[in-house]
Amino acid sequence: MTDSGTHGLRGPVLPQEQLQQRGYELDDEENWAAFEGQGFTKSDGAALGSRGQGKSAFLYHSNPPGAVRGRRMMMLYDTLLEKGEYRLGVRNANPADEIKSPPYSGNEARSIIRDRYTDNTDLEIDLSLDPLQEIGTRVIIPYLSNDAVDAIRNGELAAWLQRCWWRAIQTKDLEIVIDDGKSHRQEIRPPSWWRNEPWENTSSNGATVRKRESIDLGNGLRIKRIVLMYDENLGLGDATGGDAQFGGVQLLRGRQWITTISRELSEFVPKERRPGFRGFVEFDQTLEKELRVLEDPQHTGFDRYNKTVQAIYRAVEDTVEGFAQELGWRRQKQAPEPERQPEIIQKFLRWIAPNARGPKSSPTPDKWECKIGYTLPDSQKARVNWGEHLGDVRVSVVSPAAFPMDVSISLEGIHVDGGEAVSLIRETPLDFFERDGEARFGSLKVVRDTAGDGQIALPRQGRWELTARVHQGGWIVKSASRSIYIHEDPPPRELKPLTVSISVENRTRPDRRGSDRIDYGDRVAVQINARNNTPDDILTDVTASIPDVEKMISNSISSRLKGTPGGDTADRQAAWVGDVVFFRPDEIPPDVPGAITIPVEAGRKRLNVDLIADGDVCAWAPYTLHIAIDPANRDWEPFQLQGLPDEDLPRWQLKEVGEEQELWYSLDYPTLRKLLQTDDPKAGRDAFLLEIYCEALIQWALGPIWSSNGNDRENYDEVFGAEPPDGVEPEKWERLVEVMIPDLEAAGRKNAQNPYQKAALLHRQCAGELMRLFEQRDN
Amino acid sequence: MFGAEEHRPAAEAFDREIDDMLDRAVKLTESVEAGTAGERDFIRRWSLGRALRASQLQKSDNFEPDEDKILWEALSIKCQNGIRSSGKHEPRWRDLIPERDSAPQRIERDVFAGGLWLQEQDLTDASLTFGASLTNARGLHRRHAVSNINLRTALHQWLKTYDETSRRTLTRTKNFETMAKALAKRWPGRGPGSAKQPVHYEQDVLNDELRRVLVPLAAELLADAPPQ
Repeated sequence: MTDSGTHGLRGPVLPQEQLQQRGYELDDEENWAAFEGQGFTKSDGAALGSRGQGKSAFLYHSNPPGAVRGRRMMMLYDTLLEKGEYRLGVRNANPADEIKSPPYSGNEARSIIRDRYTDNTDLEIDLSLDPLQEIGTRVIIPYLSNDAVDAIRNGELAAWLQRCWWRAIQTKDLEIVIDDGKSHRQEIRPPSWWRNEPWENTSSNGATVRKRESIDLGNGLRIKRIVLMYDENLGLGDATGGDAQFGGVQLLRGRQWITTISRELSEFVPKERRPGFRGFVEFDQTLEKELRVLEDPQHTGFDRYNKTVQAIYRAVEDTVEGFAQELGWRRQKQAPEPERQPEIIQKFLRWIAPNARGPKSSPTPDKWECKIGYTLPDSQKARVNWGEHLGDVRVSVVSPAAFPMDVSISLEGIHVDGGEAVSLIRETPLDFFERDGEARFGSLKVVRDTAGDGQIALPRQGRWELTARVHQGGWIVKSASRSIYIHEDPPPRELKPLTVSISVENRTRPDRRGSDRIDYGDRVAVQINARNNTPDDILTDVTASIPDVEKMISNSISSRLKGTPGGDTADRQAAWVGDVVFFRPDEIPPDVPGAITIPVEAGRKRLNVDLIADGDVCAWAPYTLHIAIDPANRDWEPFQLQGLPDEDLPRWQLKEVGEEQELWYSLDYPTLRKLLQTDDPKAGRDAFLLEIYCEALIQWALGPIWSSNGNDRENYDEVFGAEPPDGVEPEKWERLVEVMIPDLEAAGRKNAQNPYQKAALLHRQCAGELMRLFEQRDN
Repeated sequence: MFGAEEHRPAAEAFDREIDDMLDRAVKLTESVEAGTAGERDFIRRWSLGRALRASQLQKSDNFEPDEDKILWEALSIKCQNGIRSSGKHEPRWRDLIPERDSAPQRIERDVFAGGLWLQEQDLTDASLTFGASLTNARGLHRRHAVSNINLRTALHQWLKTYDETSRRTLTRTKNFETMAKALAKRWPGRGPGSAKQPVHYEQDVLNDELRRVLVPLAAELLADAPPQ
């Protein structure tokens, strides 16, 4: 891919030390460093491509040979600058991102371009290209993947380029030519229906065009134009490759297609008219800048929850509605009103509600455990600067069976904000003694760029999640994550100092969960787990009992909980572990060595646990036990759903109605109305109701915690306190319950910074994750 | 397949047992002198509970352990209608339960279960603990975590250390409610601090802890009391 008419990848090649000194911030004209950088900050963040993600896409279409594990990727890029300087860079990703530093330059670069490139694995790439003669840049992808080759040959690439860039091509800002060097040369042009710019309001030969310009959205933001067209002679097959993305209204930013509004318009555009319907939207400069921030890094959409984006969608819908009315298209009928208790909600509650589940019919899955260990430069916070070391890095694994075969571990880093993933330690075989395995990697230096021996590269500032994965037989059987901050301090966390949870296992009947029936005489393993979110060790007293039962399970037994550096993920520590056997009060206590025997009447009993430090209760948790009874087979329903014909209602709202709570939503809510007009209104309605139910359930769980400053966790325990719901991998449930939900809990506290914005985003993410786990439960 | 007749003998025997229990309750009530109407209600409730415990009706084979509700309903109807197993009318039973406009199907949990609970202390001790007030008794009974006999024993022993005038002040409805709230706050039924409840303490330790909670509060209540 060669560009021209640009300024090339100008600017200095900056060595690592200099980049570190500058805190990885670049100026506008430092294009070479930005192109090679993975997420460096460039001052003109508004320019497309300036954030670095687009360049990585080239790598994914290469497939050179010689990969030891996984797939190898590489690309070369040369540039000619204004003063005649010539550079040739090389980038590998297999899977670690590596850049040749310094790049080839001058005659050496030209010579390689004319002949071949040989890398340090003796891979030879025959280039035989002409060096660039005009100022510009070329990206060379050797060993193009088969998928990419097919896409060029069958026209899919051309169609995609047309869809994305037709407007920039039309305004002569861009020219794209596909040339296979043999017989195929294709210049990308705008689609036929958009060729007659400027567009005027016309109706002729079965085609109607309408434009609307300078639409004020308030706050100084304007849509420059919306242009709509209907041509009864046009079908979606006319778009090269049969691309349905043209069948709607394209949103263009920077003259690039970002997303298409189509489903939202189904109320106005009848099904039979959709093949001939087209539209696009352009924005004025101020709005373009605003949208840049609201755009996802892959340039495929905008934040739909943002008010400006919502205003844009409304303006488009209004315009399309007017267009449809003018053309006499009848509005689509609404589906019947939803029932009060939809089946999807009942299914969801039965899946997540611990006491409504029946006894399991299959054995409890084997449990792997995995833990990442290392020492930090500063034990008080989880921060490492580039150039510093993580000491004694190790991954410890416990397997469900002794001496397991074919087990390996890998370690990966994911940048939490940017989503970037880097491999830190490739799959390494693990040896076991009995059920315990450990891989030790010693002290590892954290670097920004290419990692050598004894180093790991975490190339971006900010929060990273280090994830260890345990592989067996090609499958990932367990993973564990830990947070670390690179080159910046972790933000203060508003978590409770201590949190506690209870796990119960029926050793006598391993096919039953802890929340299932426990018969008299069953040996039950009780483990009280705690997390210490403070940097200092805490000495606690553990108290556990069943109300009205005189004999306690644990009466102020001391436990020292290790501290957690600020920003790090607190380990779950066992504060108390023991076996318990329940027996009838009027019988002689059974003789069970090593177990505590507790006389208790049959029934549904609550196990209460307190962690006390310095005389205060720092954490508490309940657990429901069913002693000699089956859990009630009732449908758990924290609140009922109530749809109301009220346009002024918000999307959803939890309301106290007498002693009950109800989840109110508006039957006139625009999204719901549109979903009811799709081809499958029931599915649309179910999706809407499930989404609001998940959001409301999370609020129901966390609301009392927020209002009681962390003390009232009863609702939370009802939703998240039990074992993972059926069909959910434990590590995925753990990630939701032990990372995402606590982050939301912290963000929603009264003294949290910017509580609404962050909490709102996290709330949506948690609800989305809950829905995903529910929908994937049968897979 | 099943008919009611085969169960008649057992039902009639049980009916007679209920009659005996109610008669015993009436007898206990009449054996104690009461001053105010409130004190009479207190004694009736205690008596009903004591008679119920002595009768062992709850342990009858006719009921499952969690079917007390059915027994309370039956007793309530018996008291309301006053019809003996012989068919004769017994008006004195009516006084054993409160007046209610509603039908007898309304479950008188407070009456029978509350009576059982109240009689765990002897009448003298219970009267001193609650100032012979059913309102006070209900106030503690509904706070399950602090309704335990150990705590009532500790409360009784602590109140005994005050003279009668001070006790009367402390067991006034409003003051007793304040003390009950303080006890419930110290020993919540759920949530933080609920793992160790009065039932889990040795009596002397519980006595000390109760004093620690109530003595400062009692001083305020007594200081605020209008002169007698």
